[in-house]
Amino acid sequence: MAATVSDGIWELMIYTFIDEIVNTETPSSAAGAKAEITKSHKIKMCGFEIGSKLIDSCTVMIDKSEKFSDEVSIMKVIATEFWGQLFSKSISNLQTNNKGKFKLQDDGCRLLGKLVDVSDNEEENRKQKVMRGFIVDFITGLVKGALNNLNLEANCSGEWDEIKRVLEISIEIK
Amino acid sequence: MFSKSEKISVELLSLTYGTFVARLLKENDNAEEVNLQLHKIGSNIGNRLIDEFLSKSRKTACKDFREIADVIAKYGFKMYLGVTAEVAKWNEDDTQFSIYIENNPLSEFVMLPIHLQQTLWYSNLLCGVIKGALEKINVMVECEFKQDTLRGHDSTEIIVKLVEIVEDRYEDDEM
Repeated sequence: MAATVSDGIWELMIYTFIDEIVNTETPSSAAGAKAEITKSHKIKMCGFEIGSKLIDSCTVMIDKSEKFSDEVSIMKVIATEFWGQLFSKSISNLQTNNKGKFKLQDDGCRLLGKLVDVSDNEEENRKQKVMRGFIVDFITGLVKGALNNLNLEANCSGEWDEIKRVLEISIEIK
Repeated sequence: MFSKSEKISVELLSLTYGTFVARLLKENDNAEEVNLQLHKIGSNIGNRLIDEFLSKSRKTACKDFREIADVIAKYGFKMYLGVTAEVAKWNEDDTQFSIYIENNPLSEFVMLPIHLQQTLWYSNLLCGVIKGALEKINVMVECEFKQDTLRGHDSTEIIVKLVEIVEDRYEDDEM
């Protein structure tokens, strides 16, 4: 059994590093929207790199020929082993149209669930919302990186429903 | 108040840290600047970590700086990094000590490229965390790396130097 640590420090690490990435840039007013895209891209790239390395440790113990014979099997590994490494649980729901589109739904993702609105402080709530957006970027990056390492190129997008507290990731295999 | 924490692998922690450090280095060629950034980020983490730490460890107020050192090394490192650290090399008036970390999980799978070996303190985040956490309980310290096995040194050593303990104006309220 590999050594483990409390995930508290990991979560804080992600929040604070993303904060730093977001805040070190000095967005010129003219390129406001563009700056947002660049930040979002950088955060996705961080997720991508972590995801593509982490999936290796999920797959070393699996018989590759059996588990990775098709897209659905690969997606199952993402939904169970990979998600388990990250969030100590499996994805709540995995759907597919059997034509290269997949939907992963996860109830109460810890990394997002902790960024709750602070009731009546609008400015703080706005910041939390922006942060949740970046965390969704980070998580879609993780998934994209993992898939890429398994030779599946995919478009990944994500959305967090604050009311239902559900994270939904849509994947379209190219 | 704090949800039960889950466990993650040391590998994931180290991988995540390494990726973010690499990102900072990509944006900033100057390793000295990255050291400062890591220290600052660590300090933010420490600020946010200390409440949880105090509530989970159920530690009562430390009576002196020596006890604080012990709590950091024995409980803090254990709780957040899964390793214990050694406190050593106290100075005469008990205001400075060294923390020795045997298996630093942040750098477990890391090798520094030669051009960074003399400039980057890869795990400088830890110094920030210690400083940031203590600052919240009114203990002002300076904290820096003295040695790191990543640089080819024999051990990994952090020096913590007490600047001052600020007296609380309204006793106990914070604790």
